[in-house]
Order: sequence, then structure tokens, then C-alpha cells
Amino acid sequence: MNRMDEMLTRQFKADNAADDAIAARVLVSIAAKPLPAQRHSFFKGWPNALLTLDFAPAWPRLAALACVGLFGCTVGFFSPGAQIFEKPLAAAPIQLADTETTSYVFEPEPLTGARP
Amino acid sequence: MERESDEALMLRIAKGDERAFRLLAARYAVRAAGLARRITGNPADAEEIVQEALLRVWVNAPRWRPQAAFRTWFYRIVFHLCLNRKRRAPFFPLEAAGDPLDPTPDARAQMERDETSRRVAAAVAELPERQRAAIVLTYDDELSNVDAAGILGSSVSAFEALLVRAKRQLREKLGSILEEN
Repeated sequence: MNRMDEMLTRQFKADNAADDAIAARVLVSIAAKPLPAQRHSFFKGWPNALLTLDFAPAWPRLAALACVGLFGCTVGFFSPGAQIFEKPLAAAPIQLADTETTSYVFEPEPLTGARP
Repeated sequence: MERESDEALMLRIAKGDERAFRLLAARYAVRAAGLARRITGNPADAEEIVQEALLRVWVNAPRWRPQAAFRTWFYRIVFHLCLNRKRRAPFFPLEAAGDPLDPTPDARAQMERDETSRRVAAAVAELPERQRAAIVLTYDDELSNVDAAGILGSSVSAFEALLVRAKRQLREKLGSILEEN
């Protein structure tokens, strides 16, 4: 520990009387008044809030409701009429008559044999 | 209950145990007062800050998570309340004015000690707030660099750099005293 470290440590140790007085006043002040209401986390406290309101969560019933919901979704998605997972129909290719040139056929005249 | 850890008391406080709160408040009020007084430089401000910080502990206890030590969390509240105070003129305590001169030899030595103490206090008071906080946390509360960095909301390396800058400034201001000693 160098000189400055020693000096700072000594300084702070010797200067604590005022802190004791401040702390004593604060503690008296806190003890004299009623403490304010505490802030509760919503996610931590909502079961208590429901209990207070007589909406106690009945876990077996909630589990039954969740199972029924899951069963309904399963039936809905995988029933024969459901098309949710089927591939959509491929769109028919559009052909424009003006640009189609492959159907042009040049046949010889049947009687004369002349070619166009 | 007196021997319970801070974290155990916090769990009780979270359930609304006022006795646990008063116990924890008594445990930390003096240290918080020291930190606040040295950062703000004003005992009246320090008193308000300590009271506010303790009430915040009570109010927010149900939402406290025991991920960090209570001390770090509480000191961080105190430190931020200090920073939120409006900047005021540098404070010099009344004791800094010194006592009238006493002609006896012991009194002279005492006066020199008081003068040294006053100059050290003034040099610390002139530091920027974060540097002052770094000095107080290190030398008054004797916290590790990791804990002090957590309170100031900085990395350990940034805290160490802050401490080095603070000590360099103090060395410049207290150069003559250090040489005399």
C-alpha cells in the first residue's frame, strides 16, 4: 500500500461520525412513519390476485380444458376434409396465341403437290 | 433473524416482513450514508438519499431477484440517486474551517493533521462524480473491483481505468502533502 492509499484509508476511517448521525436520523424517520405499499410483480402475484377475487385457478379443470382444446385442434387439422396441409393446385400455364409458333405446319397441296 | 444473510432478509421483506426490513436498514444505513455523503458532499442530501434508497428497497423487494448480491443492488440505487441530485456548488463541511489556534505543542500537531485531512477531503470532493464514487467504494467500503464496477454499471477494466485516473488527479492535487509525509 503506498502513501496515498494509506492517506485515503485513514481519511475515510476517521470521518465516520457524521455517517452515524445521518443513519440514526434516517432510521428514526423510517420507524416513525408507516411504510408505503410494496410493488408486486404481475406475473408473480396474479395467482394471489385471482384467489382474492375468488377466481382460484383450478388446475385439474384447466388441464382438462387444455386437453380438449388440443384434441379439437388435432381433429380439425387432420380430418379428411381439412386442406390446411395439402399442396395448392398448380396454376395452369398461360399461353398467348400471338406468340405461339410451334403449331404452324406447312403441308404440301394434296392434288398438285405444291408447297407453300 | 439477526444472523441471517442480506438475501434471506430480502426474501422475508418481499413477503412484507417489516422487522426484517428494519434490520436490513440498520445494517446498511451507515454505509449508505457514507457513500452518499462523500459523493454528494452534502449531509442533508445524503440523509434524503439514504431514506429514499431504503424505501425503494422496501417497495421493490417483491420484484428483487437474488441474482446479484443485495449490497451491490442497494449501492447501485444509492449511487444513481446521488447522480440524480442536481449538481450543486462544491461542498466544504463546517469542520473544514478548522479550529482556533491553540498555542500548545500538541495542538500544533493536531492542527497539521486537521489541515491534511481537510485538503484530502477537498481534493476528493473536487473529483468528478464517478471518479469520486470509485475512490469511496474502494477506500471507504473496501469493495473489490468487481463489486464496485457492478455498482457503477461498468466493466472491471473500465472501473480500473477510472480508479487510475482518480488517483492520478489526487496525486497531482495532494503532491505537496505526499512529499511532506
